[in-house]
Amino acid sequence: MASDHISSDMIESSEFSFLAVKYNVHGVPHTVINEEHSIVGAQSEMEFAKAILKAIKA
Amino acid sequence: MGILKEKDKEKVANIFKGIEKDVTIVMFTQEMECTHCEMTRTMLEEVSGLSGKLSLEVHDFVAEADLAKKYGVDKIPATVLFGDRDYGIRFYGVPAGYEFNVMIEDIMDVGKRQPGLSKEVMTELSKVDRPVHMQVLISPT
Repeated sequence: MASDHISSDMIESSEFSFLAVKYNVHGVPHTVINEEHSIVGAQSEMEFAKAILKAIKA
Repeated sequence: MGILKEKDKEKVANIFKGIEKDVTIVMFTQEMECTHCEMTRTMLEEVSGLSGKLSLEVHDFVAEADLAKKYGVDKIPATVLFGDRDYGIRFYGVPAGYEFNVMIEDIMDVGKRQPGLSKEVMTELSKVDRPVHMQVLISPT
């Protein structure tokens, strides 16, 4: 909602276990940004914002 | 068969009194419903019945493949929270347990037409200049 560029999916990993395997998920929450960047565990909103900016600049 | 407990319905209905603007819950399932699809649909029917500001649209993922594509929905059960426009919010799977709370919070945010983020975080996110797709994998409870 904060940006028109950002979309976000909440995925129940037990129902879509192929995605948990695809993204190598061992613990939750596990956040995948643009298929490539992973954040494991809960983070502050600011840390997520910084991770997003880092991901698009990488 | 109901999914939400009466006590929880009351609590949620009370929170929903604060919904400012209409929110549409768009759900994708299919004719031969999977167990999780049926659970999700039943739950969303109950949730959307708790406020006059909420409406529920149920679509067929197979028969309405074009619409699913428009929403970028590639698996079911899928739940989209829609305000005046699409904010890119999707839930895949039954939004139960902790996710239920997240969905209720998101409904409130969409009703406000703004996220509950601090000014600092909003400033950071305003720098995003290309598509970002976040997938948050979670598990029940």
